[in-house]
Amino acid sequence: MNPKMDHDAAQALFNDHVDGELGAEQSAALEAHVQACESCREALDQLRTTVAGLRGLSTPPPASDILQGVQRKIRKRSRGRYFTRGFATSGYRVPYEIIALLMVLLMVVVYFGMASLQDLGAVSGAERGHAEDRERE
Amino acid sequence: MSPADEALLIERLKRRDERAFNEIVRLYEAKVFGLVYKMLGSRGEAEDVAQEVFITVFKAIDQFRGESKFSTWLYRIATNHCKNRRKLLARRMEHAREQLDEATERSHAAAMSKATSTTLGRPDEIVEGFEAERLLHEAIGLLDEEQRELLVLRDIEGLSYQEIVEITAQPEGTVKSRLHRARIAIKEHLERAARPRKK
Repeated sequence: MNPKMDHDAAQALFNDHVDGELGAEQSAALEAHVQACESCREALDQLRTTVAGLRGLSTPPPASDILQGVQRKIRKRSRGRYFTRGFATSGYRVPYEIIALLMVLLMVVVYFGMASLQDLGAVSGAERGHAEDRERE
Repeated sequence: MSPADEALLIERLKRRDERAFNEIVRLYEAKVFGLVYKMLGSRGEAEDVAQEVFITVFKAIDQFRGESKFSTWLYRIATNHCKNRRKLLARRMEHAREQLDEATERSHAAAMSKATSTTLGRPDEIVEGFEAERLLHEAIGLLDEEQRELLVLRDIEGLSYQEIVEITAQPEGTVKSRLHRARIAIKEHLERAARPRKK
């Protein structure tokens, strides 16, 4: 413990003291100085009061619902991709990549389906031609 | 909420699960709004900025690697938004001020000064009640950007020095010395406000 702590040394410790970050020995030395020194006592009291006032500051509640505001903005900026009303808010969303892959698969199926229908049509046309040829013969 | 539950929520958010996002907003909206309100001093601006903070979270959640607490990452986003908004507001104010007539400005300042000097009490008396709150908000508004940020994070939001170091990317010694100057500035503002009644 240092009972001969001067003003400058004492005031340099005020912040840590208010924050409760001083060791026991330094804290005791500071308290001893403050008890004997009116100007330091007053300065420390004012700092404590100031910090206590800051810690007690209240916050008014927001006037509007923050979540709704956030959802509205995201919906607008994503052009309806997120936070659209209805089933899309269930939390599950099909990724665009999967949708694209399914579209490609569908196009392939349709293409081959149409191609096979055309083949069938061509085969039946040919068979009809052969049958007509046979009838003529 | 336990850290494991929070990690799960963040994983869901990374998959763009809207319900997980809603839960996160509900969990942190009061803290974010409180922080932003004290940094900006305006309820309307604070509401708008708090919304922007959560939109950034939604967009940038993939960048959160879990190296710090989620709340620390969130506070960093919030403080950055506040700084940007203050710059924007300062530019607007500057523009508006240029358009003001000089005489009008002088008379307004005189009126403000008179109102302030006649309504205040001693520092140790006025740190209670509405007048003290108004005065503290006024004093916080007069701090420079970095001091205000540190004061709000430490003294109002009650964050640890370690968290503040992570949010501001400043060394602990710098944080402490700037915070000390900020507290002194607030105290001196209260003292100046108290002087007229002391006489």
